[in-house]
Amino acid sequence: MSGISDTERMITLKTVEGTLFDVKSSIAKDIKTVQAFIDDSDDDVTSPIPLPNVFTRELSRILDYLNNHHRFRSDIEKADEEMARYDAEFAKSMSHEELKALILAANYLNVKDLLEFLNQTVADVIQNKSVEFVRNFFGIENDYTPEEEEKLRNENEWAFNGVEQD
Amino acid sequence: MVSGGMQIQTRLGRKRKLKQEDSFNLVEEGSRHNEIRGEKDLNQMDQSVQSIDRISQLPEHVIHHIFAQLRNVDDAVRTSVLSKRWRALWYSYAVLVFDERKFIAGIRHGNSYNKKKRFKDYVSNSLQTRIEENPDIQKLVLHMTSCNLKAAPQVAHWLSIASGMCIKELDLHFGIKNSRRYSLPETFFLSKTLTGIRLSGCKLDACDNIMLPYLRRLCLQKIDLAEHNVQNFISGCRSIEDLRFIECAGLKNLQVSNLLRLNRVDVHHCKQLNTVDLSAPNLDTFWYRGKKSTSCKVNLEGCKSLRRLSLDHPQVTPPENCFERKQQVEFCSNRHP
Repeated sequence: MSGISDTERMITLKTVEGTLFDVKSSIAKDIKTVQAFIDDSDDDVTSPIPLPNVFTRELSRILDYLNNHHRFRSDIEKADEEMARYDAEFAKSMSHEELKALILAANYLNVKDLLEFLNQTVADVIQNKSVEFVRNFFGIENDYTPEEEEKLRNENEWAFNGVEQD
Repeated sequence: MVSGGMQIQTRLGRKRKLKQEDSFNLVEEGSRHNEIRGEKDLNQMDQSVQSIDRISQLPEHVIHHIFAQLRNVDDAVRTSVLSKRWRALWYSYAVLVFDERKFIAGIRHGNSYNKKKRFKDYVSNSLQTRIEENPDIQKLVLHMTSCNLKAAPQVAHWLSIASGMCIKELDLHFGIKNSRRYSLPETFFLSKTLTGIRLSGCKLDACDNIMLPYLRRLCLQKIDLAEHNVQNFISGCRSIEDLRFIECAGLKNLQVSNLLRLNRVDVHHCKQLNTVDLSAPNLDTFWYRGKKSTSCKVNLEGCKSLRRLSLDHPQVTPPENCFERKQQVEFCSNRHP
């Protein structure tokens, strides 16, 4: 491939759909599930590593994120500022569905920094939102009877003040 | 089979390929179909197609992590009303936060005495429920607006429940009114599980005997300190990495040595402080802040690993040796002549 200009080792990842991604081994290090696979194979990975729980769309975004963060880190002076700007854009560009799908993928792949960032994004989304909004956001089925729910709300009355209306 | 969807995805993938940087490349499957792992992958793929329907089922540790990142405890408390699973998740969450200010602000009716009583009942009940449902608690945060000495036995009871739960981190904050201070029980300072303590607005008169072998972070705020208090902490907490004194009156000479793991020391607005003498081979960061026009002499001679030094005080005397090594030390001072 014409894109590979340096001699760094490449690892190939394969998504559910069968799409293959070539990834620098320095990037693969941040993907703990992949790194564990490489370690288990005594570094002798020649065929693509299958990722049976990860879809192309999510893997592509995750690699985007990791590549950009690696790039930022190489320039220490601007790192924090650029990273913050990039992260803010990244968070804004996701729909709620994409955000959840990305969390599941980042969790399966065990990409710690990204998972932390995504969880913070979720926390920011559900902050100060009504119970109904949060149920809707996570797709949670309410299995309380109306009486049970009323009782719980009364017990924690103080936590319901100032909640945003939907 | 799933080929229709697959093709669309791969085509999308190919489109994206054009935008990618050279650090990774998207390669189409195409000719690699005869791979050995091929068949196995299809089975795994079926499983994952099922799992996409359960997208609402975020793993427990992820949800706990989201709890931890909520900035308000009421956001987290409300999640217990979402569903039975979420209620169980909330109760299995390892951080307990009791904040009287927020609690009282949330009650509309009743006088202040009643509100305070309801807060205490709430803390007692919650702790009791937690012991029954899941005693594995990592961290307890207790923030009380004022110190009522009548409540002292109750607070002592909560703390004894907390130490029974092998808690790792404690954050206790007592508001100060009429200079009454809550005195912490002696047993508080004998723990083999505590790794972090933050205390604000209480008294340390019963802490002559300190044995916290795993304590890594200690922050003392608005506490009257005598030199022997500090020395007791140093000799009883050998693993301290992060040590902070914030607005601690009474402390005139701060002397810290023999803490091999000490990495960071903060001293902020300790008005009566005359000298700071730090000798810690692995100290990386020292941050001194003060407002009053009292002078303070800082000696960091035994801190060979110091990289970040911040002296934010009009009249502090910076240590001479830091200028000898100023190439290595990132020095920041806001001294005004």
